[in-house]
Amino acid sequence: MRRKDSGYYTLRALPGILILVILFLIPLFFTFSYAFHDNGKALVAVFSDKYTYRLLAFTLKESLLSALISVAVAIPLSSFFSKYTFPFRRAVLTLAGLSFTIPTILVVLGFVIWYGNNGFLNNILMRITGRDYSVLSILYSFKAIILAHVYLNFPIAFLLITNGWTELPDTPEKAAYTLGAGRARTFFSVTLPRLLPTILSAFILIFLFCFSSFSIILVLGGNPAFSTFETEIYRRVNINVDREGAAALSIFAFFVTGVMLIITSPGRRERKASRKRRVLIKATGRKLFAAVLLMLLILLFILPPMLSIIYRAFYTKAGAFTLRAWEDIAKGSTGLMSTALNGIINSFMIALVASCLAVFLGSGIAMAAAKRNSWFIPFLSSLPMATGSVTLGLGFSLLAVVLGHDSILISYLLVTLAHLTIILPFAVRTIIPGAKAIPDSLAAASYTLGISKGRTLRKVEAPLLAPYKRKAFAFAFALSLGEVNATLTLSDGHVSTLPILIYRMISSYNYQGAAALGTLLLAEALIVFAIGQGGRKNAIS
Amino acid sequence: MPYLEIRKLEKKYKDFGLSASFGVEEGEFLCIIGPSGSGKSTLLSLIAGLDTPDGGSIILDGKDITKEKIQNRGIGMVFQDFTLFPSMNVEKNIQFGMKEKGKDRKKISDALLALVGLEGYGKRSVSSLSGGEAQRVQLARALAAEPRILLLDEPLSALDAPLRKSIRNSIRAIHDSLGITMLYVTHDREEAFSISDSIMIMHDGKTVAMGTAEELYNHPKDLFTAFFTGEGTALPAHLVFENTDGSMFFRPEHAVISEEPVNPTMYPMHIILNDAEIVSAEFTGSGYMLGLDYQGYPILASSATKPRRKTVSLMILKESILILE
Amino acid sequence: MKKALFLMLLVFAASGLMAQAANEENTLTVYAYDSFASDWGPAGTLIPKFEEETGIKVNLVSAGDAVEMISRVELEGEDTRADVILGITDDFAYRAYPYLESYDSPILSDIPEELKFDPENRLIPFDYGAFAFVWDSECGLDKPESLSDLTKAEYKDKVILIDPRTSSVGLGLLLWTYNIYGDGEEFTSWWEAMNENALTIADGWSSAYGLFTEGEAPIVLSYTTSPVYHVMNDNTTRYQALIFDEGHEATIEGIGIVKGTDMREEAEKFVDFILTEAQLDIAIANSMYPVNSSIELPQAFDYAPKPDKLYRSGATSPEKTEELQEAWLSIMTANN
Repeated sequence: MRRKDSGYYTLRALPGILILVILFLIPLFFTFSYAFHDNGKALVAVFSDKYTYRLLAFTLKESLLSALISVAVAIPLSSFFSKYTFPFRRAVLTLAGLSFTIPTILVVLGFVIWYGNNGFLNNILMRITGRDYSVLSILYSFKAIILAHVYLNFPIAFLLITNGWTELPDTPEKAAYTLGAGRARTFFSVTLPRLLPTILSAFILIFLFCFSSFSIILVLGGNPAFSTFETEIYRRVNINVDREGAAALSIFAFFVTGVMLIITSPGRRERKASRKRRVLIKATGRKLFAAVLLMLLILLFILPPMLSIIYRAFYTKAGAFTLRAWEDIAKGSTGLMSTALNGIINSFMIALVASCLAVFLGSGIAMAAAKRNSWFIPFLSSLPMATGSVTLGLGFSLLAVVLGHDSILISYLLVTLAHLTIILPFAVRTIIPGAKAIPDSLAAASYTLGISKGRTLRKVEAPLLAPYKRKAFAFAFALSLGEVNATLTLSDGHVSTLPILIYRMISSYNYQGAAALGTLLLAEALIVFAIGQGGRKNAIS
Repeated sequence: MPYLEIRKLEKKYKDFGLSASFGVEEGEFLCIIGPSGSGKSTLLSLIAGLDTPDGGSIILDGKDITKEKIQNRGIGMVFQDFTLFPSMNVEKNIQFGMKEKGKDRKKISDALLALVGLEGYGKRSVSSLSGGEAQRVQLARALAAEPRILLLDEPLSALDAPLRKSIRNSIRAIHDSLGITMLYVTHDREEAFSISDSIMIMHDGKTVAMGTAEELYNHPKDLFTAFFTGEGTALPAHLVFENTDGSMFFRPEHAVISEEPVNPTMYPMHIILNDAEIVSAEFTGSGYMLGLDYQGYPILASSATKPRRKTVSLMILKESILILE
Repeated sequence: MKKALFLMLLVFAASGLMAQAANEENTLTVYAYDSFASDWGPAGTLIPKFEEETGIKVNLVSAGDAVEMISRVELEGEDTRADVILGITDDFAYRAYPYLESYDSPILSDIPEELKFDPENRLIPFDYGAFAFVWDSECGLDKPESLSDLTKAEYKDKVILIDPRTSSVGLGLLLWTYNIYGDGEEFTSWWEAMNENALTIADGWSSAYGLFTEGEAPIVLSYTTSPVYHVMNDNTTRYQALIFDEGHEATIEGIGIVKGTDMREEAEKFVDFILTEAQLDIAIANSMYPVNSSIELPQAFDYAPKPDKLYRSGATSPEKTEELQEAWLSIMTANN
């Protein structure tokens, strides 16, 4: 049944959708149109080339596996985190979101410093085992790709599933136990079906991220046989300047991700009000011990690569303490003291404004999608995610050319809007499960009290979205903080953010300076996350 | 002219259609009963404005409100589901729809809490409430918005029997003290009988009967109403009355048991059914409800004592028998 | 919440305004790649100097890398705001020619003939570099003396290569091996052997060199000038560029004046400035050699030996390049 108020909610979703259409769909349309030059010769070539299908096979394998493992690892952890409360629970959840902010290049460095053949882990193991060659060879193989992908994306699964699970009342589980169903059977036949929309949501997000990943795959995979669509699209755009071929390949990849999006779009379902929310049980005794153990495991997985970056900001490869990187930042290589500060402020402001807007517009879209029971709205708003960063970048450079301007203000505006386009799908995907969990009868009850639709949305429905919105904000903020390409393209290089400065540092050989800037980036994200979480005592997180 | 008048209200779905016409007087307590799927809740949704009708009109206090926004109808509603707003405590929930400003809000919400028997609950969180408490708060919240009519959609169906009884009594008491018009949907006929001024029965999207509980019980106009308002027996009329179509219907209490065979000529005012075999006897507290088999037809009869014999005779006063279609 | 957001937007807008005032009419617009144009690049000091000396205002636009710069000019066509484009490498020069005007600068006489890749002087070289393997001289391995030395078994998992599909440095090596071995058997066997010896094939120079400085492998594909940084900043000569007698692949960066500019005179002044006063700053910042033979390089450049023999990447046709990439891919993925 279509609700009477769906028109209103659609109206609220329009601004977000409009921004997507202008900033994303129109440039995308022009980008794709290259593929049809010359009677679509390039398109035919791509579709009939065996190499395309080899790329497809590997890209699917790599991204499905990464998403599957991330989700599989997250589920047992989420199960614990959505059941018990214990000290540092929220701190761990906050830290888990951090790996998302680090630019790819630093993730690679962090991985090398920690897991590398000459990295800390191997050095420690070499000392323990007394061998003089690397004990664990993790990097430069297919498993390294998966490890890095799980490292980067596991937080999505962990945070989203924990969030969704905490919102589920556990009465059906209790009912199942009384019927004599064991834990496993209860999980698979009672919990899983109810949790499935959230799991699917996390799964598809991770899938899409891994689908368009390529730096990590090339560096850590160590073999050109590990090539994704994105590698090939990048080559055609930036090395061979074959715009038609790149567009044709983009369409092919877009088609695949689009199909994935449609398949995994949550189906229609009835929403019933649940009176009782789950109350987290205080972990004591053995449970507390398990909690400590699990937290240690998570931290042991998440922290080392990040700490490696921080370590490198203070110590040289030889292990000597130095503050030179920080002096470099303070000076700037040409004496511009303000550059790093500027980068910090720019990164912060762009990320803040873009992610506030993303959460605001995203919840409008999510509510409309839930009220209309529509798969199309979330599909439409997920499309930027289904488009690889290279294609997205091509669209943005087209936009930059069309808009040709000299004003720094417009640069800031465009960069912020571009970030918005990139993070909005993420916000929408994160909020939709929350919007879907709100029963229609709540709004109906409010209307019969004579309360307007706007006030009902603000006072009755919006508070229920809050935990999802906070999560969306954290992700969006992190994502925006790490963004590089769109920022460079749309600002003519006049807007310097921290990750851009990191790349500039690296291109002048200053890896230590880059690590120092990376430390600043992590610190900035951590502070924002902590503030975002700390604000609510009752937050489920 | 009735206070609320429903004129040829229509709503069509793929496999279900609703059409209703009736009126409710100001201050009346009308119960709408019917089996599940009969369209009771749909009817309430249409009246409240949560759903749009395909045709017909809704007139409240002489004004056509069919196209009016939900918010402006002045119709309150208590839902079957838990619809308290989780983001607010009990008091805030009640005050949410109030028109008053300032200090009065607190006074009124306290008074309403007292009215529904929940003094001192104001600061509680709604998730801490029991099912019965939650429904009382819903009621108080709906009343706080000062509706012209209050619709209650199976408000007690999720509660256990003793609780249901006590809350329905307080609902009736609130109705009487405030004089507010109420439409109360339930599938529980006992609840309807005990609480209402009048009852409307719905079946397959149509209103089939309307009247007081006594009228509907004693003089049902059709078999559906007869069975829905209470237990009874329907036999083909031609078994007893020659050249009569339809069914003869009687309530169990109108069938008198005799353990000895009865000569029909002795009782001209009665219908006599000899050789009915007792199939079951169910103790009801005040007596026994007997299930009998008469020539293959099932019959219900009540008896103060448990018959010792397997085969009995039945005597039914002719004037208590209804011939129904 | 809304109010706070609005305030933040205001602060944000103000910070944007402060960052740079809007540009006026009479400025010379220069498209350059990001590492040149950023505040940390050579532009940070050079542009103010130029503006002060000539009174010409410069609007520097960072238009991505060389390919993105050309794409942008192509897309903008007649409407382009650029008066000068800086940083087109010789291998992509053919795509830029249609949009450029010839300029026979008086400085041309100071530039060696072999660096002038455009006979019509639409693109004038301003710096150049040569690809080379950089190695860690303290790694305990024998020093490789030639490309073919690198294929020896002792260098197994000791070399970090870069993918020619995603990096111009990687492409440089591909063309280098083509110039030395041709595209036949020798080419194939060299790459087959390197497929064994490569620890990994990175996506770009940044990650490759990062792996190298982290000590993952002692040999990395980079530039002959890479040791300069380590000498100047780390005060170490541990990292050395390997100069092979076979010769090295060179990449030459050029500057050109955009066709139809209405600031031709100012543009010429800018080009001359880049070819003279700016040479040293650019060379140091980009870790490249200046083209102007009258420039004295700092001592650290002693550790950036100039190879005697250079191959120009621009000499290989784009069709051949793509063919080589495909051949490369099939060699490197043959065993998988």
